[in-house]
Amino acid sequence: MLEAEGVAEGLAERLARAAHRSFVSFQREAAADGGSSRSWDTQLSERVVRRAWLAGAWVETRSGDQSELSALFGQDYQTARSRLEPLARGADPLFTAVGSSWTLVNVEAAFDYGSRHVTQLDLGALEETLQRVLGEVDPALEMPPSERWLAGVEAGCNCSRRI
Amino acid sequence: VQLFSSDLKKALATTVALAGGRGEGIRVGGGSLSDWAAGIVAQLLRRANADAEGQLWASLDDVLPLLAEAAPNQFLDQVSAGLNGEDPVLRRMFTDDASAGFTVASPHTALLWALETLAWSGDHVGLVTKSLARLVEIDPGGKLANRPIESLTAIFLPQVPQTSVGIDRRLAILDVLRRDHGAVAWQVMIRLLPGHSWVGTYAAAPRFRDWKPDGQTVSRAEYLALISALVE
Repeated sequence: MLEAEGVAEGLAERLARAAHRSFVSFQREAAADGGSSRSWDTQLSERVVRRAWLAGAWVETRSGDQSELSALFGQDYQTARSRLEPLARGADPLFTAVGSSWTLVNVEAAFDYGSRHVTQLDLGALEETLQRVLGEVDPALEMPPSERWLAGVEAGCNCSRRI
Repeated sequence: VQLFSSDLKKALATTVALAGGRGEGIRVGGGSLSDWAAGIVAQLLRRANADAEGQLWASLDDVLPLLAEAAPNQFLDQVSAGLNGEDPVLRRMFTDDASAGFTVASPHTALLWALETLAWSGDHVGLVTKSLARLVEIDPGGKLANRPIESLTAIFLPQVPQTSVGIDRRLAILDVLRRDHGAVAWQVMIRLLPGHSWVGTYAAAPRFRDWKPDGQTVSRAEYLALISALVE
């Protein structure tokens, strides 16, 4: 419908996703290019929120994620979580939490707000996290190629690998 | 079992890709966010090249296209380093040979997607073709249809080139390919001629860069000019 009214495809898709969340999200997404200030701007000026934004997504039942986020946040995960929880609720949430999975509602829009507040200390902490997480060698690679599928079975189908 | 979730890993790589793609004008401390992203990618892939078994490269498979977008120059430098020598570390990325048994996944496909993403950029397509040509040379073959020769051919497809550069640049790049990787260039040119049925999918595209043009079309004249040049 939006595309029929002349709204570009990408923007129409973004607006439709926002409308699916709430009317307020739709209004703020539509006004974003016009410089309207969302609550995200204020929220991301706070260190723990900003570092959660930099992490982007995680699974809180995964012990590696929790310990790494504690290091990145500079505080115990449960303490940080109690601060982040309200940001996953309301009319225009920054995060969405489904079960144990947390993720940003809109990575690109969040970048526009978060990048205004990011500090050198944030980047230093994030760099350490990045090198540990992305630098982790998949233990399945220690197995012969013909047996690697078993690693997925043993992990309860950690279906992250693709053809 | 991996210590960290795939969600965290991909999200962190997305942050680096956004910093690299959109952070050029954002200053933090002494440099830009793009500079910071470039440093991260260079350091990580240097570590990957230092691992002779290629396990770190293979472990990065689900984020390679994002790392390529984050820092194209550093990514291509490290791919080039990983393709050096008689037994290049990136040969370990091909794991879909007959001995793979039940397994049909192979991390080389992610490397191809990363290079296909960069091929859309006029600034990077030249180096991408060199890397793909080298990958064609070291490809041991395997069960998957997704091979370096397909990615390389797609860049030059007369009807639907998987790059943003025009016919003159594409022909110039093919000339370089003929000079430096003659056998590979020959395979590509044969595949581009009419009558050769090309089976494949559209190449991977960038998420945060504007390298891929909207509604790219090839005129009949341009199509015929490319075919004529290939025949000559």
